[in-house]
Amino acid sequence: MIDVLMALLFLLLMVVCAVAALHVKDLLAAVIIFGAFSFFSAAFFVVQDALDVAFTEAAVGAVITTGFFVCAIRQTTRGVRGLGRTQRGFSPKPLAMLLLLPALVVLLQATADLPQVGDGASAPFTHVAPYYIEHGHEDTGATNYVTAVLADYRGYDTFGELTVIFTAGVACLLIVGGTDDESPPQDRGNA
Amino acid sequence: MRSGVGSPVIDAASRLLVPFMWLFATYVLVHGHDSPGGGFQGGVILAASIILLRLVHGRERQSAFTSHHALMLACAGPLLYGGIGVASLLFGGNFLDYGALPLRLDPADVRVIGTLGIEAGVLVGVTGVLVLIFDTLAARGETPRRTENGDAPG
Repeated sequence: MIDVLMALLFLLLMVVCAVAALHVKDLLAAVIIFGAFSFFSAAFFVVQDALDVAFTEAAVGAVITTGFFVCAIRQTTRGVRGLGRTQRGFSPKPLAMLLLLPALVVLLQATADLPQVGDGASAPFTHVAPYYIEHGHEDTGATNYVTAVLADYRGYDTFGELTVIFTAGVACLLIVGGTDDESPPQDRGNA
Repeated sequence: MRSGVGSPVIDAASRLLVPFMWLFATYVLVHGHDSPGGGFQGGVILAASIILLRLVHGRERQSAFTSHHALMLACAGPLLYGGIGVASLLFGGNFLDYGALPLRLDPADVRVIGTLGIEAGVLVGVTGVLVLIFDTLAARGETPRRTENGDAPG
C-alpha cells in the first residue's frame, strides 16, 4: 500500500515538474526542472523495484542530459522567443487542445487493456522470462538477471545499442563541429 | 567553457569527489553481475566525473584527457565488444557466445569473464561518446583559436 502511495506521489511530482518546465520562460530554469523530473522518475523506478532502470535514469537523465542542455543553452539563448503566438496574433493553443483531446481519449482507452503491474499471467512473463529466471544463474553466473539478459542472452541487442550510442557521438561530431578545427565552416575556405 | 568556474570551494569539492566517482564507476562495472548497474551506468558515472573536471577547471586545461582521447575511447568500446564477439566466433562458438573462449577455467567463470569484457567495452564506449558530445557542444561558438602552424582562421 505504501508502495502504491509513493509511486503515485512520484508520478504526481513528475507531472508537476513537466507542467512547470513547459510554463517557465527561462530555459535554464526549465532544464533544472527537467533534472528534477528525471530524479522523480528515478525514484518512481526504485519504488517499482526496477533498480537498473532507476540507476540509468538518475545518471543519464538527471546528470548528463542536464549538463548537455546547459551546454546547448550557453551556445544559444536563455529566453523563449517566437513561441506561443504566430503571425497576426493567431494562438495555436486552442487548436492544439482540440487535437490532443481525442489522443487523450484513445490513450486512456489503450491503458485499460494493459495488464496489471506485476501480473504473472501477462504476455511478457509467459514466454522467455520464466526460462531466464530459472536458468539465468547456472547459464551465466550472474545473480542480477538484468545483467544476465543484457550482457549474455541478449548480448547481440546490447551490441546494437552500443553502436547506436557510437553513431550518436559521431553524428554530434559531424553536425556540431570538429575536435581539432574549432573554426566555423565558412571560415575554413579562406584560411 | 574554457575558463572554468574558478571557485576554491567547487575546486576542492571536485578534487575530493572525482576519485570516489572513479572508484564507484569501477565498482558498478565489476559488480554488475550481482547488483544493479553494469558497463553503461559505470560509463556514465565516469563520463560525469570527467565532465565535472572540465566544468571546474575549464575545458581541456590541465587535463591529460583531451577530446581526441575521448574519440579514441568511443571507437575502442564497440571494437572491444565486437572483438570479443568475433573471438568467440573464431574459437568455434556463436557470435558473442563467451563460453567458447579458450580460458582454462570453470565454464560459468568463462562466461562471467566474457560478460565483464563486453561490459568493459560498453563502459569505454559510453564514456568516450559522452565526453566527446560534451566537448563538441562546449567547443562550438568559442572564439577560434590560432591553429598549430600559426595561421589564424578567417
